[in-house]
Amino acid sequence: MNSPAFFVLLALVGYAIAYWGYGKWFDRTVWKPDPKRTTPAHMYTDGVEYFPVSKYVLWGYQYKSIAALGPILGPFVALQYGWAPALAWIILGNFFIGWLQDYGAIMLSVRNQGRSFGPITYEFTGNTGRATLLGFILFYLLIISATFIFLIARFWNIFPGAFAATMGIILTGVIVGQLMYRVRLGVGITTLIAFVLMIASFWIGTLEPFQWKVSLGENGAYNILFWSTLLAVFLYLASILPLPFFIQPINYVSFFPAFAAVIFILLGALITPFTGVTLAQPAFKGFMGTSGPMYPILFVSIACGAISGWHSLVSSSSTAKQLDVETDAHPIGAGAMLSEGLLALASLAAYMVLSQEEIQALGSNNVASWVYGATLLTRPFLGWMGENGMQLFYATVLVIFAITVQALITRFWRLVSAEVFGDSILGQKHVATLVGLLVPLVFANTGTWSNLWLYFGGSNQLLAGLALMLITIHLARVKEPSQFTLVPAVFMIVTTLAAIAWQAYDFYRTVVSGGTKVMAPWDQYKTFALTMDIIFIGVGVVLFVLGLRMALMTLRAYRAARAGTLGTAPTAATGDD
Amino acid sequence: MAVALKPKGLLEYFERHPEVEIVIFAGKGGLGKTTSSSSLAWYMSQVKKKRTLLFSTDPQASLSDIWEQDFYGKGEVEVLPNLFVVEIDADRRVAEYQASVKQKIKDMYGLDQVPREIEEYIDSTSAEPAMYESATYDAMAELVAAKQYDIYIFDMPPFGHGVRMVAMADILSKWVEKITEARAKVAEYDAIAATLKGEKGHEDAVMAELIDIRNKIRAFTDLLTDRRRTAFFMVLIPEKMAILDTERALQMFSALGMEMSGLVVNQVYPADLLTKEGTSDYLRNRVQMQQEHLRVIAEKFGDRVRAMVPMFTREPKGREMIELAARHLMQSELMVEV
Amino acid sequence: MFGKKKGETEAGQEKKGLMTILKGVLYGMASHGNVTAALRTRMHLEHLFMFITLGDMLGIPVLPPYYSLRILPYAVPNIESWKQRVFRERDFTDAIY
Repeated sequence: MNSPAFFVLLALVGYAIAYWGYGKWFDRTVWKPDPKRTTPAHMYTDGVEYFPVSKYVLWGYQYKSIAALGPILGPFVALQYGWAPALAWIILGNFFIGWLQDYGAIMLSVRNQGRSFGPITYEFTGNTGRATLLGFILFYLLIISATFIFLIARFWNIFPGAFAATMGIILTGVIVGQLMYRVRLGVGITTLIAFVLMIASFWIGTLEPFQWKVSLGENGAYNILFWSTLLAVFLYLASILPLPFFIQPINYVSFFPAFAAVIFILLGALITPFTGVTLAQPAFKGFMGTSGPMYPILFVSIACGAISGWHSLVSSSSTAKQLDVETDAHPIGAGAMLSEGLLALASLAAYMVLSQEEIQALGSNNVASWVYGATLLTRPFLGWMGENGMQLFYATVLVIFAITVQALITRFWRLVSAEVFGDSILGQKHVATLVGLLVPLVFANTGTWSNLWLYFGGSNQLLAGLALMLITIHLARVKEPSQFTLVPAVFMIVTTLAAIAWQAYDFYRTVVSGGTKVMAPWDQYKTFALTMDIIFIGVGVVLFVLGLRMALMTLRAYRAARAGTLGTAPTAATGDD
Repeated sequence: MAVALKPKGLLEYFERHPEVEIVIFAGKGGLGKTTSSSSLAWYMSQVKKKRTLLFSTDPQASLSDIWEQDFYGKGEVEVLPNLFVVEIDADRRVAEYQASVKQKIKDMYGLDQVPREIEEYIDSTSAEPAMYESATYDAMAELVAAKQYDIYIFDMPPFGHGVRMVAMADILSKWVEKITEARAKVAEYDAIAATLKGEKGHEDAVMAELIDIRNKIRAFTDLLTDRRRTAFFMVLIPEKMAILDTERALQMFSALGMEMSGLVVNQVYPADLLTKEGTSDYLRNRVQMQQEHLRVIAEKFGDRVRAMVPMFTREPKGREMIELAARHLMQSELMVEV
Repeated sequence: MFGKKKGETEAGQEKKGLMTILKGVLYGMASHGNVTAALRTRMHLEHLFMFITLGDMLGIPVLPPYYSLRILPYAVPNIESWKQRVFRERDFTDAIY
């Protein structure tokens, strides 16, 4: 009972019931997948966007695409209420909401000719709905970017050597790209070379001459500015350079250490009864945390482990177009999401074994708790790497996790900007990339990490709620039971709107009382700090208004679907036989 | 009276430019272009003993007319030892080409019939004027690429002075460069996807075809723009419109970064007709007018005029007349005085 | 992890089957996204290529059709899917990954 393994096992049982019990029942009652029904991958095969892919490949792809920083860092924010509420939310949230969304998003798209969320939103809620979604996603992307940029800069700052190791891995990626595509070396041998180079990168990171410590301003006040600017330069390149020669091979090589780290902490968490690593955190700390009341904050703090809107975008954007048979959707969508829940649990375990004192001792560096927790969990079998080696490994893994996702997000921002701003200057490739980096850069340097995280979680979970609404509308339209997704959808939307409102109110409260939430050293510039506070309030208000508007529009569409007045059901058009 | 212009004849030009392989005669219709190109071809093949190809695309079959023999659409016909004449039928060439494309589609995919939509597309290309120009251009490029002759003489179709042909060479090469580049990029990403999947890439048949087209166009374009190996002559007559046209053509040429090798003035009445007895008033007036225009030509074009060929007493037709015209073209005797 | 487990039981008990599954999962995680990204870039480039060669077919006049016809036979099998892809609605949400 005293080791985290017990709780991970408990969750495993819960997820097994979710998959084989509730999941199968839900399938029979609601989606009724039919292996004979032609999927978009077969109907529109073009070998590029639409083509059938084996479920194992798709599962791997889906899992890789959804597993990012969310499940790793989210549990830390939730820890302010103790680990028990976090554990309950990861298990129950995923059980009743999380996998339903991922799976539902795939099925929704499959049953609508493989179309993604943009066109589906347009069909259900018209042009205003799509435009609102577009606007919402723009803000959402800015917030994610700010959060990730902040985290990467922080980690580089906390762990000297992590920057050199990161650069080593990036360089490895670039070399791999050249070897594979220019020299035309096979994948196997190239991967082997990549392994050697990456191990060398980690090793270099532990060496004294490569442990670059920066100290700018008083007590390194401007360090974050320095690191985040450096990062922005990298991201700019990643957005502009051709994919296969830069970000793609970096993605490829960084998968291996990232995946290894996931396996390590899962293993570490499971063997705690044998390694003697025990729980050190209190199970419950109280209803009121440092960021606000448990409801709604807890539900937006753990994003990807329990439910995440980003997943529905991935599911409907490419997975649905490559689904071989409808019966594959459940193992892929639900399977990947529940596995993601396990990752969140393993991360939670990494926090559970750290004591209060240990975390407090980290001060403003407490965001790096995961690294220390993971080190603790895996020390029994990774001890040979040395304390510094392990810390550097986990810190760097976290950074490359974030960097690869962030590179995609910056690129995606550029594409969405081109869509929104068209031929105007803001839609231009370089300008869009610059805006998509500069705004988050300012946010990352001024907004504190938990504030950014809550806006990120809020908008991400709100997106999940909206995705569930789209799924519900579809189900209502085709006269299938819709209450199993409607209830989670409403819960998510209400909770996240409340969380965003709380966060905006928190800023407002601080400003009114003459304080500022802007991070040091920028808080000393009074006017600037006030402006930033107001901007952050504005961000909250915009997210809230856009989210509320989407919510109302989807609710109206749902009522129309129930009444049978929302267009014609698309099932006839997919030509099942 | 001073001599304002005394061209030396084309012979002098060719002696100073022994490497010339391609000679192009350009100019409006009815100015004696066909006579000039035929004369040069006669001279090169009969006097210089060079293996000569004379080429025309004129749908009026003016070569057949002047040589009093039907060449139209008959391929390379040897009219005299060393002298071959081609007069292509662009319509037929386009039709044959379209048929070969359809056949290729049938062969490649074992079809009995070309898909309707594709067949319609192929047929619709006949409506494009550029199609005929391209077909002509391609025929020229093909002949030159075969390297069967020492010298090629092209009697250009009247449209746009034949300058258009050079401009087209430019457009065509840019176009083919662009698509080859685009295709190469496609192939590059193809190879990337294949490498990642652990598959072997495959040869791109389209790329092979493109490279073939590019090489052909490039070789011909390079030749056309090489001043040592290609000579452009513009044909005109001493009339106001012709002079204006020539000026415009010269401007277009320099805009393309090219230089005209020289001008040939045709249908010149000998100046002594003015002093000869028995010249009718009508003719005298014409000669006088010509003299004025010739003086303008001398002033405007000066040394660029390489030859002045007299107006013959009868239509320049048949080998003897061609031979006579050739002597005047090669060793110009007329002069302009002021 | 669940998807994998389920797959194991379905694909039979053979060792080879398990290897195929593992390879599939690994490929899906490490490479599939990159492959689709490469294919997508290739698609956009091919659109460009087809536009300059056979743009006429879509009613976009492009100079000059003569040499395009030489390319046409090779493109025949792709023309349908090309048109389909060019005219397919593509929204911003299709651009993720």
